[in-house]
Amino acid sequence: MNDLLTILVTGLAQGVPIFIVASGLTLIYGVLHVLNFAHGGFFLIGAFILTSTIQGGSLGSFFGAVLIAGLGVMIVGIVSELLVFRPLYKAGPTVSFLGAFALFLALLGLAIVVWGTNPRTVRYPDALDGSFTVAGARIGEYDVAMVVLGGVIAVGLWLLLSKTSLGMRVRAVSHDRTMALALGIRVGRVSTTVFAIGAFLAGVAGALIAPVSSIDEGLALSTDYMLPAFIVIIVGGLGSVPGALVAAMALGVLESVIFRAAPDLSGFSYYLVVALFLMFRPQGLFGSSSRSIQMAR
Amino acid sequence: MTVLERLPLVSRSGLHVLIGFAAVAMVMPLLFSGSQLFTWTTALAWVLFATATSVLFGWTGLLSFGQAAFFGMGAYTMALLYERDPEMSGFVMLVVAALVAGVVAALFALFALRTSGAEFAILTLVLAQVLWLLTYRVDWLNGEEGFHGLFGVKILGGPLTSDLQLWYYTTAVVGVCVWLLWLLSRSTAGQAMRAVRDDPWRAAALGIRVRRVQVSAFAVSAAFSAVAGALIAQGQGVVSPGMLTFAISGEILVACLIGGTSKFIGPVIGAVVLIWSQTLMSNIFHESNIFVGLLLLVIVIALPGGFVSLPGRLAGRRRRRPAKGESAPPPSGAATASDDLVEEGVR
Repeated sequence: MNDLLTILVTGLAQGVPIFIVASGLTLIYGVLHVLNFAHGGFFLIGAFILTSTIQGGSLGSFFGAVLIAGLGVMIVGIVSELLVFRPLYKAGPTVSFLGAFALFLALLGLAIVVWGTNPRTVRYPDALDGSFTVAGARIGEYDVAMVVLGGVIAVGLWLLLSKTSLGMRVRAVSHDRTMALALGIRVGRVSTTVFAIGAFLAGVAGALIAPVSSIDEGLALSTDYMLPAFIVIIVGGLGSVPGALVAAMALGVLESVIFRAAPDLSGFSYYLVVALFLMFRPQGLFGSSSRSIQMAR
Repeated sequence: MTVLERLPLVSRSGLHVLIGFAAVAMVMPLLFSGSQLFTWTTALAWVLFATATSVLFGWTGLLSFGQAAFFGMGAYTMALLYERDPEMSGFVMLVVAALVAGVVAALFALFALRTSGAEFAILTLVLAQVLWLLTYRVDWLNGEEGFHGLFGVKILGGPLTSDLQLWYYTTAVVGVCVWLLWLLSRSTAGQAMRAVRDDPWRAAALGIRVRRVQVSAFAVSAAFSAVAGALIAQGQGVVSPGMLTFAISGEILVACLIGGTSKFIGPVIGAVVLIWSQTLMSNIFHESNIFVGLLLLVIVIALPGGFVSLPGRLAGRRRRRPAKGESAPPPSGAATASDDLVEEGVR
């Protein structure tokens, strides 16, 4: 019984970075109709920036570095949107998809040129290093911090999308791009903004996993998080942020349970779930069958 | 070759494809030897891989990000067969590898094609990733170790002992396979694939069974990709999980795109350009990823039709400014809409 709480918190904590990556992906898909492969590159660069900028083990330094990572990657994201995606938008989704993949490879290469191939590790911030016991269950402090942070980001995104005028424009563009254009919404600027938000989130997610795993040149590292994020947005319904949240948390917990119950099967749960979903509910949890994009309802 | 193509007998039977490969097979050993000839051997295996990928990506209009799954499946099938029976003929292994990949691909496609476009691409990527994970989790697939010693695979009674023998053997297999694919592209089945790519909804209205065409294109593509994977395995003597990675799936799409998929020869050119530039560039850039990525970016943005579209574009520019969006696929809205229609229509 006590184990259950541990499994739950670990699972949620694993789901958080995936949710953060996936929420950016799903927003970008909603507005640009691109599955942005380059997100894996953004993620990796976020992690690398953290390893370079963090100093000491204080909490402030850690979250400062996380913020710098997010902002740095945001700049990379804005540049890539202007240079790569804007020219490709008219060419259709397949070409944009390949453009995103090209960008992904280029960013991975760039990361190696800048940071080299030696794996880097980062310590947990001192204040979050330990664990505590609740009702007999051992819970890592960093895991709790992750869950809280995930909650903050989810609420922040919800407020941004449903309560601000920017959010309204984003929803309008993703609902009907042509109509939004006719209404005088500057669609190009909204696209760049959404891309910037998505890239920022990817950078933050990358920075947050730095203490949990070793950061290296990382095709493996970036696919470890990018593929689950892709699966999460398919399971949650393309374009739906709440869908991404629910799917990421559910899959994180499921993976954590499977890791405990049947370690041989760990790593497969995402693939199994996506297969089941595509068989029985191809439009995902929160998607509608006509594929019109719904966000932040 | 263009003169040859005009002769009716030649163009109908694709004889010029075979003659072309025979000529290449004879000429290359005169110009290259040692490691350079080996690079050409690798490039030729990739020519087959790229042409097979083009069946899906270029002819049928299905974007697969998991071609490495079938490439690797071919290599692993050959390795497992060799482990079980070292006396088995290499040709038999190739056929078995093609069959295994073809059947797996057909089964996978039957359910994966419930989705389309981007989701389909992700599903194919998931397939490759699952196989990659399996190589680490299943004991008899040897994890990171993989398999060694595939040089010993017997062709016509004995193993291939020199680079030259490997070259002739690879060229022969690739030549025959590409020829078969050429025949397919000229057949009614090939025309049906292009019809499905251009407008699946209209193709369905014309009585083409869209789903069946897509599934068979997937199977054919997988089978020939597996042959290419097995050839690479035999040439390098080693099979490892590296052959199943996402990088391979991406690179083969890069090859198709560099060459351009509008002409049969496009992926052939693309594969040769990719392998040679990777080999040459690996001396300059420590890691070839950045180069492949930048090359692809330039092609995608500046020359979306690939190298084969270059002559046409140049000619067009001389006559008039090319009409905008001439070579570009239809805008996203239209494409998604028709995808949806077909999905519902065929189900």
